[in-house]
Amino acid sequence: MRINNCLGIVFPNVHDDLMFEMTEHRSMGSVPFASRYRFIDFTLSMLINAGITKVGILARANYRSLMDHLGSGKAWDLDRKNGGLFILPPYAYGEGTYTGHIDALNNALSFIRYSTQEYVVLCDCDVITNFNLEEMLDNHIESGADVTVAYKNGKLPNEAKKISVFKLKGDKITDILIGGKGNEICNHSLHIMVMKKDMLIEMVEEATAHSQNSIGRDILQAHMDKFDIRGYEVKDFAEIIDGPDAYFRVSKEILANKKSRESLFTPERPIYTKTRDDMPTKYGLESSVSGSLIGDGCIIEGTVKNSVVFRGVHIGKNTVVENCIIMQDSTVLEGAEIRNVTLDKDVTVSANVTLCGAPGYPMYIRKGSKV
Amino acid sequence: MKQKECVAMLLAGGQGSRLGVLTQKIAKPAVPYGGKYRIIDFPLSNCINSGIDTVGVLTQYQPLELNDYIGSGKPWDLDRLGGGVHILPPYQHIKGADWYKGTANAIYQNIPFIEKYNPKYVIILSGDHIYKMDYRQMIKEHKESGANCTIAVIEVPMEEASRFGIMNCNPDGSIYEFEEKPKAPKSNLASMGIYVFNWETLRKYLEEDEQNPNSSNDFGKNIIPAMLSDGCKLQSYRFADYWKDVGTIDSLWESNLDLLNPKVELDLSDPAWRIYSRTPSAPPQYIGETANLQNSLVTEGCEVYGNVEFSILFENVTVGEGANIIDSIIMPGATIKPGATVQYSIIAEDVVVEEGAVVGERPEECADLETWGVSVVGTKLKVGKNAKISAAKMIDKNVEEGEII
Repeated sequence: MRINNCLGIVFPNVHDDLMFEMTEHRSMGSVPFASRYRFIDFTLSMLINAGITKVGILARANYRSLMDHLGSGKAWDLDRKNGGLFILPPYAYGEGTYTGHIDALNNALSFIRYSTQEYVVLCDCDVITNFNLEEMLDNHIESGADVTVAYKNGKLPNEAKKISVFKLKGDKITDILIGGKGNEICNHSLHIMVMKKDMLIEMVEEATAHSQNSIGRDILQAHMDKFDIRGYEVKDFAEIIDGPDAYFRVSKEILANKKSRESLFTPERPIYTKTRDDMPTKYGLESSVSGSLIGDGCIIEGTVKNSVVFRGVHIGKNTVVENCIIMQDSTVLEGAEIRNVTLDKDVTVSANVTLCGAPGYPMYIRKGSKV
Repeated sequence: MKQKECVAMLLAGGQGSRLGVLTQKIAKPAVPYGGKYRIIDFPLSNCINSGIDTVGVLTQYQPLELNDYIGSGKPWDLDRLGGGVHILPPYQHIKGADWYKGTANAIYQNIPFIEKYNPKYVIILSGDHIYKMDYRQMIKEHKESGANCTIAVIEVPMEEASRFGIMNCNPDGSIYEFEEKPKAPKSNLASMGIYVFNWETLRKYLEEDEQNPNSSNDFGKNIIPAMLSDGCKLQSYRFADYWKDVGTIDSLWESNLDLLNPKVELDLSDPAWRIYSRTPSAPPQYIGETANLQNSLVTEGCEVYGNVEFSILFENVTVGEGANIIDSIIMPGATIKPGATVQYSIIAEDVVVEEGAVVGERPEECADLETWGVSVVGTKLKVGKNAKISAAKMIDKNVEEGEII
């Protein structure tokens, strides 16, 4: 790892609307994932593991939980004198919040302009991946391309109306289609791209002058002929989360597939997160746990199968928890049975209650509810 | 600088030789405990939870891992402006260089550190006990009693009293005599190795003690007896909660397993008195389809496919399918391969136990119960396929395939 000449810009809010209730009180970046993380942990860890030491977070709305999570940036080694973590919420008078990438970038233009880095990498927070971003930066610089976009060859996510699909010749992108048909195998964007900082500033100023607001459509697609745009294929685990269904599906994929877990949690590039100083998880007598990911600080006395359990969860005696996602500090009391259910934070399922969603259509229980 | 009311000095230089292979490369306070802690997390967390934000950690024996672990003190919130945690190794000075000759000499050599904060009181702590204690209460009683020194004491069973430093007290709690490991103990109040001193008094006694060439420069052997014979007021402070000296293999093993005993009152999940630790960035624990976990503690980074009962797994431990772990402590990064058995044992960091190997023995299977004990496998060692290690063994080199020890 080395300190490199690249600034990180993260958009924690851009796909909030796809997640329905999950982002009612939080940004996409602070949605909990995989027993102990938030989405933004994957983005930030990738950036710092690539040697990036200055990161701007262009928060738009619902960012209280995000700010609480990020703090000074210490957990990601981003509490620095030189560079470090910058949270940049909207500050314009009376104009409300950002409406898109360009708007957000325009608002943060002085932050970007006065950064000394030559390159900038832009990341949304809707991808669960841990690929080698350093290699992508190196390729970009070596190739002399204007813009390099990370892509994955695979099935287009269902809800991905706005996802760019690329046609490639070698690593050169020859055509960009926005909002292709679902279910086809294609090269689709992973919402991570790198370019020169000065070029970004120029693009943002021009797009703002034309009241344009989409990076994909108004910048890349509109300038196909003008720019040298390349693709970087991500072969590691990479999944776009474009809704509660995808959230559930990808959580289960990590449970079921050891290779996916190993790719996402490679010891070469640890995923960092804020620690809670919970004690280890206690498995009681007569507990039965299988095929599950479990966070610290839990007390498990019942049966848990094929589920993702976050930190500080209590699962009482004689309970059955199957195909569930149980977020932090929730409680399932004695005798309850829940199947195909997502419990958000701080939910209590009372004793002897039965909750059941359909296998492909899980039930979702809101943060703080008592069932 | 503003005067500090109390500065803590934590004695962390001891070798802990009774822990054998576990302290071959690390100091005793750095020994892992309870699934994600190290022994030193307890006094450090007690300090910050008691509002003591200035802590000197006196290191001497194998300090590398301990220094690394404490770092800036951030995990305990001890990275402070005007205070915080400071590592204090012995150093070279104009007249030469000395190792810390004893506990009192270690403090004596760091008088300038304490003077910098100009405290009213100094609390002396050690890095080899597991307990949760509000030092504020002890300091408060120390102030109220007007004593020169207050020593924390705990009742131990009378038959074990001869293993401890025993404080003989008057009915008002004042101490009239101190006996180190007495053959015929007069009381069962054992010193917990926690002392609150008025700094001015302590400094005077440290300086006098240093002048005495025959002194072993030890708090228990020299400073406390000297104060008693001078008629200083020494007060006892009774502590009745969980406290355990983890200086031996058996006590370390027992104290770990105490966390699994609902009758033992040591709650590490109390949000009002957290025990902080430096945590590695490990993924969540994965419990496989074939796993069975009963009354055990498991933490981040573990992958469990086997059978784990009444045991504690530290971070990044892998337990293969069909492996059995019973009444054991498996320290960070160890791998227990499929079909291996670990029972009544402590497996140190990064050990690999190969397939079919058996480590440790159940007391009921041991031919001679007198010789039964917990077995220990030292750091980074390998126990070969189908090897067998019987009870009460301390393993300090690789065990070959099929070897029987």
